[in-house]
Amino acid sequence: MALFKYAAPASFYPLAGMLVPWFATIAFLLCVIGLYLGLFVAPEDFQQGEVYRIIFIHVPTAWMAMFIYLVMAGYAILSLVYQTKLSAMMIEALAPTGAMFTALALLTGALWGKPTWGTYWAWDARMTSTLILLFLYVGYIALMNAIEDKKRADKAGALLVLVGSVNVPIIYFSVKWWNTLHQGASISVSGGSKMASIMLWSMLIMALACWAYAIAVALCRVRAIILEREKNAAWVDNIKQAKDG
Amino acid sequence: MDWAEFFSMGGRGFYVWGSFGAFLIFIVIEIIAVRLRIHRAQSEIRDARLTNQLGATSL
Repeated sequence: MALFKYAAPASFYPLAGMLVPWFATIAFLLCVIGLYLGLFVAPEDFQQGEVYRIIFIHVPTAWMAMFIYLVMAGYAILSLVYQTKLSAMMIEALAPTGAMFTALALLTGALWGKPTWGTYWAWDARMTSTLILLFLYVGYIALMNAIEDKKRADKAGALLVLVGSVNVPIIYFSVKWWNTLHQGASISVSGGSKMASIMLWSMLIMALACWAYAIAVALCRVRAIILEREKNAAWVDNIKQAKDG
Repeated sequence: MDWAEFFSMGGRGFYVWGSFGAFLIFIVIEIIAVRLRIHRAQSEIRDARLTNQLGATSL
């Protein structure tokens, strides 16, 4: 199958390089549109006033925090079952971006919590499980740096990611399972949305922008990882001056 | 539109702009970090290649 061709770092390196500018451009345009709609077009909330606008950053970053982890878990399965080098590299490429989005979700959540709940932080189920998600990302990165032998590091890292993935449904359903300070879902597959449509659109466009950004930055990072790991391979010697980055 | 009113965000400017600002700053930092990483990897390969060539000619 043609798809498997790109499972080899040598063929994925140029493909990723070709895709990065496209996703970066999409991310930039969607971010500009999303910020414009969220800050200038969407009306103020009748309950919360202007401060609700944090939702346009908070919800997309929180979604990405969970989603990137699930993608990493998917690659962890591929990496453990098929031993594909590229899968392990993709986990490594996604982790810092996932950690960044998790930190942003926690930070913007704190900045939203203070004016609306009166506190930056509470040991509520959703916040605590999201903090654990951040520790999982950071733990994975630390583990990868701690083990010299890349093959062993990949195995241990993939295992950690896979075991930690039980935390994601806990975060997602925490607002249903426990009586939390954090509000329930703004959007659900079954019940539709509780938000005004322009607010919803701003949020979805920001989420798509984050999505395209995560793809662009992870592809860019995986190129660096491929070069770092394969620097002694013959194909690396063949790319002209290793310059097309 | 009234810009002062816009930036005050109903008196919640610190929280709103803190969130949007953190978002942009984190992203800019990550983009710089990734670019540095790929440039470092590329220049390492270039250096290694140069050393190899020098080594070959001196033989």
